[in-house]
Amino acid sequence: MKALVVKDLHKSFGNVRAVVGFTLEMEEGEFVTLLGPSGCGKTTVLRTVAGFEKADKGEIYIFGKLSNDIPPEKRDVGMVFQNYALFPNMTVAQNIAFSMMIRKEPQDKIKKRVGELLELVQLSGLENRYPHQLSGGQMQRVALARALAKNPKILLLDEPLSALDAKVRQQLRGEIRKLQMKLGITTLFVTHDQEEALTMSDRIVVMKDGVIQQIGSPRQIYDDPINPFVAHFVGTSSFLEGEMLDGKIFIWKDERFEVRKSKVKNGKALMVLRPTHLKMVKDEENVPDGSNVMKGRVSLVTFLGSVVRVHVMIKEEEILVEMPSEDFWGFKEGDEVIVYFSPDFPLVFPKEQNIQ
Amino acid sequence: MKRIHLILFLSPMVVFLLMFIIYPYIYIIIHAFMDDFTGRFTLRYVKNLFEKWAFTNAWRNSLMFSSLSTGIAAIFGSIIGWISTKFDDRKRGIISSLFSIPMTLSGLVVAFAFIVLLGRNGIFNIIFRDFLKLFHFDLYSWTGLAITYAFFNIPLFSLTMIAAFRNLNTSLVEAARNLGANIFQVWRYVIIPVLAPSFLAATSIVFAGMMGAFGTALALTGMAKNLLSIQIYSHVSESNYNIPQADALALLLGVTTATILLVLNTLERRLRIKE
Repeated sequence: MKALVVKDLHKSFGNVRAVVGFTLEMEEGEFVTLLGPSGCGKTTVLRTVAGFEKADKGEIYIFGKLSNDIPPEKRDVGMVFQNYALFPNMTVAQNIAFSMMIRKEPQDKIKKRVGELLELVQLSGLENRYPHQLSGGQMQRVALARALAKNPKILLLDEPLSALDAKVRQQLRGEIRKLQMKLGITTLFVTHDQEEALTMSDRIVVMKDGVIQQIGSPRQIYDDPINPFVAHFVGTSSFLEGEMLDGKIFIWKDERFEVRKSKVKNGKALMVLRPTHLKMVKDEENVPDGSNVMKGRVSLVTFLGSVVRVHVMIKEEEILVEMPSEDFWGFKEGDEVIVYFSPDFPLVFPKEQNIQ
Repeated sequence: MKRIHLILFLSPMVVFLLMFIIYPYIYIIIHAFMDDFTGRFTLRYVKNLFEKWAFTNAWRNSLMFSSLSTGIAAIFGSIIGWISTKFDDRKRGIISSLFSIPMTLSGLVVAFAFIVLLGRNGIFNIIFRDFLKLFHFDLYSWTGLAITYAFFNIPLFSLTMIAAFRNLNTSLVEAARNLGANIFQVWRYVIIPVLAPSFLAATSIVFAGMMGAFGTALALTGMAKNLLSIQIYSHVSESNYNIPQADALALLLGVTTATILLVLNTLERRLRIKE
């Protein structure tokens, strides 16, 4: 049985169409991320699954059960909110115990379970603190434990990391994913952060203006974006506007590149170049046979830790090239360089598809 | 900041406090215990407060009437605060502005407005008593007085509650529902505890105001309603001139109000939640 099925979901607020024809099926234990810019409808989908919004059209099945008309408190889903939403008048233990208290479970059972959950989120010893005495990361762990306390069939995470500091965010990102795999709980995660989506998910759903653009594994989304929007939103890219000839040759300014993956046969086209697909050398002799070659001048070198990003001006366009730091051998701004790429890498889309 | 600057900076406030609060209070306390003719210490006026029926009755009436009025304001103010959550910020702003108007009006003016509206020959009574022959509404009763004061108190209470409901984090409500709480449980465990401090703050303001309420009551009922404030007035006006007795009554009013406010504020502080 599918853990979650959302079928042809539509939702409007006034005359704003928030979600248009959203369809998704989730396997049990899967971690799926809804990714998109703000206002793309991803949170609306999540809130509809939680029962906080009513679908205008479409069905939601939670483990086979049609749930459109089930009130939020009767749904078997646990939710974690962006702003933590911890009850400020309750201690950590009372917050975590809330769902069990509502179900009137015996005190000793509640106490035992709260202890287990605190251990699970590594907060043992903080049970008697109040939310205002905790850090952001700690609060979100409490919120996670509280959502798990009712043993939900599906976990819903609404941008749970976006209010946190970069360092805590990265750490908690890994912890949530490990916890999710350990518990095997089906999880629907909403974020606008492509890095979170790529690192945490089994599958990513990229959305724009309420419409699904692409569903796929992080690898598929990154390597094989379905349109320029996905390519632009997920990962960094340089875009070249040109023309396709016979589905094999891309003409950009007076350069001709051989390409193998084009969605256009003839006519105006847009080529996507990932910074990692490009290589950079000083002399043409080092370029492998069959590569597409461009000449340019380095305009900026930025050190990003594990990688170095080089901005190269080629025919008045800025193109980004990335290489592992250990492979970087000292280009400087102003150096004349040769940039090349294999015909296997770049994707070519019809021009009429917009990036934004 | 240098010490002298600090003193200069604070001096207007200190002067104000001395002139309008501390000096009058000290004056009242001293004179409540001082014989007007001999200038000697006496407990006569304070004893009167507990022995004369007119005073004990006024004290009870003031407490009861203030509690009743505060209760009315609390009920309607809370409901209005809750209803305001259904509006967007712009509409809520309009409501808040409208509700600020009563507080700027003089008690006397409002009393006359209510006489025109609800008095013996007011519009309401002409319609309901004379034409429809249903009933007569007596504006000069306790009920009439309560309704007139509600005109001030409901907006005052509402403004605090509108702000409190606005600051109530809706995701707290959603989190509680997600964790299985039904509507009643959401109110019991989340909304009421979170709003309680604001509710108590509004209660304090309205209650304190009502204990001292005077102008509208005097304009509507003259001295027919036996309230502490009216008693004080009657002892400083010509008919019943007795300043030390008025001082003693003012002391009683002050101590009673201060005690209740202290209780309410202590409770409020204990319930106040840090976020």
